[in-house]
Amino acid sequence: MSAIVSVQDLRFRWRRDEADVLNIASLEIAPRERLFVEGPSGAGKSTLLGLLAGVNALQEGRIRVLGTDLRQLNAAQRDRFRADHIGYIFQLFNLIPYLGIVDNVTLPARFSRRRRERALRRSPDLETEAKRLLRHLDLAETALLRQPVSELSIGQQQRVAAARALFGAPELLIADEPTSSLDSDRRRAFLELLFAECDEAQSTVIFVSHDPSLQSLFDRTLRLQELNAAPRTNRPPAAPLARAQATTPGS
Amino acid sequence: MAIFRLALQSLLSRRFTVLLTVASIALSVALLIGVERIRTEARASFADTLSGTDLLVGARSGPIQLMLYAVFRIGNATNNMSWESYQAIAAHPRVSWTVPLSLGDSHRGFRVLGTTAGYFEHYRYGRDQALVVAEGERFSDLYDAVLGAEVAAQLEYRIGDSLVIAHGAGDVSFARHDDQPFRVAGILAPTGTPVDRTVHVSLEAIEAIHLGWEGGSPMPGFEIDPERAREMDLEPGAITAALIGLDSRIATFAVQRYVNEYPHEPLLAVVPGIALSELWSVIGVAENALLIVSGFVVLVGFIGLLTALLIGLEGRRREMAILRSLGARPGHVFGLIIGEAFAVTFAGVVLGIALLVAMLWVGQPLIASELGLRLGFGLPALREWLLLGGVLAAGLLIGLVPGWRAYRRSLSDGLSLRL
Repeated sequence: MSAIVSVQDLRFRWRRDEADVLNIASLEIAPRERLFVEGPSGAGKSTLLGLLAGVNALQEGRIRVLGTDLRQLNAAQRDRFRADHIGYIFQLFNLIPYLGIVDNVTLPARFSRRRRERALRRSPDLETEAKRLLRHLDLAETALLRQPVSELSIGQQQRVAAARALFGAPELLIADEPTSSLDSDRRRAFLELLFAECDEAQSTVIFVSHDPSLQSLFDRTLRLQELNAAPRTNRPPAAPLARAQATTPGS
Repeated sequence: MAIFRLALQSLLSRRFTVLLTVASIALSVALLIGVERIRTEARASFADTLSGTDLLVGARSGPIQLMLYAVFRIGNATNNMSWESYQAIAAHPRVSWTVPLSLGDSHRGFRVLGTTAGYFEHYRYGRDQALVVAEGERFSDLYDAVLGAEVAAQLEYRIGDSLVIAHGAGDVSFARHDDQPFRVAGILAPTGTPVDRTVHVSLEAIEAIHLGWEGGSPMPGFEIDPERAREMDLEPGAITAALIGLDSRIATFAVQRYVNEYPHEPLLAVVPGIALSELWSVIGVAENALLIVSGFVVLVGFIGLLTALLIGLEGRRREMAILRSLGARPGHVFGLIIGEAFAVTFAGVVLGIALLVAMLWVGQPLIASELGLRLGFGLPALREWLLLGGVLAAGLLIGLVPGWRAYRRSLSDGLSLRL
């Protein structure tokens, strides 16, 4: 299988009279790659993630995820596609406050039959699979499972969020600064647990952060500012299957 | 469906505020349906007060007044009609039966009606229902009284008890006919009409107790002993009103005109059905006001729902973003809010009906005895279903406002978490 994500000639602006937020000539992400996307606020990180996840509609250019051209899908189909193939972790407050930990983790199965089936391939029922993931993320104590999610520490909440994002083994995991509210020791621990699980689920990781100290843990770093509308050539990295390119806009 | 279950779980997590909203809708629904039920029941029982009588005749006043004092026993007759006129009308070829009514006395707040045995034959209420003597029998002796169901129940009279009739209609009267006590001969089954609140005696008995009262009060030293009264001529000089039955309904207007143009005395004949509906149109204003007020109460309940939903929406923005990230469509988010509005309204309607049924079940004996209304507490009638459907539709409509807001917002927020 070739690139899991492939972006070409992408241009995006929020309003007609504004400048482009994104202008990416080419970006390819290989299966099971761990990609670190770095950039200051306003660099278009969230916009890129929204486009990749199919929440925002494409304006110009092409995005293929898992071989599917997102432009060919309407909004509802993109939502379904996201439910089936993408796990998403937010910066903070990832959990639905009125659901228990296990119910939060099994949520993807409520929206996607595919992820439900993939979860059931591994465990006899959804709850067992949720607990298996939670155990791997060091959260399986029974006392903890009975707590309302609002009483968990932030680190625990983010690990529950990771378990949910990986539930049903989606091909693509998108994380939008999930560690920014953790202290630096815990960031590393969190990422290690996350990666171990991603390996098992064979998921590709796109991780966005403005904190460059984490990038050593990733296969590749993408500087959004450089990639984005840079009037100079950006050399592709050495990784054989991964290539990130930016060329002069309109060229 | 996933979204519906989520909506329920979300509601459960906010039990307290949700319960308050449900309770306010339930109360307003109970009030609305309760008012509607009382309204229909009052209208029906009102229209059912007098049936089977073709004409009601009395001294000339207005149709509504005549109806009020002769049938509902509210207020007093301004004038009587003479016995001669009554007999002239009874002799009309198209008239098949007549029942004289003589009012003016009372017993402990209940009106006393002097009439003939024909009253029990011809008085009909509801769908042609005749009066039934539940205990004892109709009056046969001069001093026999037949009590309406409520009179007997409230004053705890049994067959054979004796009672004294007071002069005039007041609850407390200083002039009593205590020289001529009556005996309870019979008690009628409840009818839900003013008959329940009436003491029935014979027309002759009314004459007898007024012997020597020609001046409006007893002549001093003039006491009638009952045995002497029996021997006297007790033909009345005047009566209050009369019920007339005709040989055919077609004759109604001919006889009505005959009475209204009766040359020897100013008289009035009314068709009970027409007078009843005229009377209802007067009372109906209050009844409509009641319905409008209860409609406003429902509106207040819904404003409460809308407020709760809109306030809740602000706190649920990130919940919506999380659901979007999981693949929920903006339509799901819309459905979540609408579903919540519907669930709350539905719970309110169900609880409201349960509340109403419980209240009717407890309060029905009281309502029946105090107001003479027999409220059923069965399943809602068609009009009530329509009202309930309207309430549910209004709940959905109310949900559209926050639902649309959440929809727009989930499109614009996308996956960005606004805190």
